[in-house]
Amino acid sequence: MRGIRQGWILAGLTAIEIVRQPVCLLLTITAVAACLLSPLTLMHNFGEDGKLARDGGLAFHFLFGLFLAAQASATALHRELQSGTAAAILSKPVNRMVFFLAKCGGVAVVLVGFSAAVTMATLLATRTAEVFLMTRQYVGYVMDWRTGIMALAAIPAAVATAARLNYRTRRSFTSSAFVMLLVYLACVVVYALLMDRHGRFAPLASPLEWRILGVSYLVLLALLILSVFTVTVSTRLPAGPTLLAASALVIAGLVSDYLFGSRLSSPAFARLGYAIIPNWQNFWMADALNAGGRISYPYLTGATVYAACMITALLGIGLLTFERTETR
Amino acid sequence: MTQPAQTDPVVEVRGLHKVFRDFWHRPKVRALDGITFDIGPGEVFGLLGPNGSGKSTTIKILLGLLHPSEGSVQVLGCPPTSVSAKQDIGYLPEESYLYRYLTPRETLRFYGRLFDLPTPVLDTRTRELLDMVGLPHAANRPVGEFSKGMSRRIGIAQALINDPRLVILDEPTSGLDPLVQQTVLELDAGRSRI
Repeated sequence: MRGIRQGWILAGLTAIEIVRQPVCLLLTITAVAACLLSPLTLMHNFGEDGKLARDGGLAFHFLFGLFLAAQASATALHRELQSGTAAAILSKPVNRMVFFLAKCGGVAVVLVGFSAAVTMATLLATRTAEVFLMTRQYVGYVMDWRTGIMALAAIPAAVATAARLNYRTRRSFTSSAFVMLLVYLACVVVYALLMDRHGRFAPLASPLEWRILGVSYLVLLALLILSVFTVTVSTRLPAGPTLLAASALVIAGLVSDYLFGSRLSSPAFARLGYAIIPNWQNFWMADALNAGGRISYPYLTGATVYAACMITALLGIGLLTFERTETR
Repeated sequence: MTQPAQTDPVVEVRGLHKVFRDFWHRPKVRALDGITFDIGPGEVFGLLGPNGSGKSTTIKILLGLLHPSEGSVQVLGCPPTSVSAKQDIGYLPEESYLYRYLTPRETLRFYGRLFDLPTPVLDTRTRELLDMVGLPHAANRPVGEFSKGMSRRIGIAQALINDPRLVILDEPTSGLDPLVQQTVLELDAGRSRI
């Protein structure tokens, strides 16, 4: 029980440390803004209403999430080892295993927050995107400008609120802005659920594309695998080489099918490579949403088990290496 | 686990060697070369030597932060990596390694919670320690805004948050004004100190 309590305390502190870094806020705001701007600035729909906004949002989620996962994880542990705060904590009755798991947990909390923000932005972007409506009152293309503008306004509103909080109570600007962005985006999601595309009060008349959640969840799983890999590598390497290793894993995982997939029947190294390198293609399922499709629950379960196996194996390696890491 | 008797040494070091190695595991620096000493209960023990003579390395081995290349170490009757031994140790690092955005009060509460101290005890000790190091007026300012001397005082307070039997102080008076130096040198008697 004590280890769990310590783990919560340390994971919370890790999450706060990451969220306070300007780069975390910058990546989150950029990803959210990119998602929300895509339906307002582009007038193509890729043959299906809302497809561009949907695919764009998920791509921004994956791309900026990879940057955030690699950056936050590479610095979370190594920075503490370098700065000496890890030594100060490990001189207390804190098990190394608890410390390492708490670091991974703290990074995971931030990634969940980031994914929540970008997923809400993607839902709002698909709601904003132009669709063809045929009702008694209206026939033609309609774009939900109100929702789009309100969602975009959440960004300056979060920044302004954080600045005010910083001025009045000296709270950290970056962490306040991150939290307020989540709060304001959630408020816009509620607004979108209560109003229709024409801005009239009509609860659930224009539902959001909830099927996006399955694909966003898969992207989050990929980000969690990458973050645990990066924290594990950072037990032995400084931030620069760790980021290189993370980039190599991302590239190897993207071309895993090409590199090893066609050779699965022959050499052992191909089977081994295919097994140990996370195949990101398993987590990129945006195309499954085309033409009204959705991700099946068995697929989500299989992907969760695959990710859980990867994460468990990486955590095991990380624990072994961190146990012998010297803290100067 | 049996508790060590009151007369047993608090720290036992036998033939301690430490060689730092480079990335390829080749020997780089020999920091310690077979040191042996004991520290008894209530004893004040000083490690003296020029820069680079291995004082901080010895301390970090006693805390389980570095692994000895050879030799044996027992702290409060346990190996230095033992979590249970650290329950009774207070450590002030050479530089005060603090989270910049936490206030002194939050810092002390954070470290106190790692020791699982009950809230009333934690509140009392936080107040007492802030008074002792002369920082009650700055209890709610982020540590990142503090001068070196003020950070050092918070470092001293966090080292004592668990009311330790063994206090390990690495360059304890560096960066402190004479009044606080005196307070540190008079840290309550009865503890073993390095």
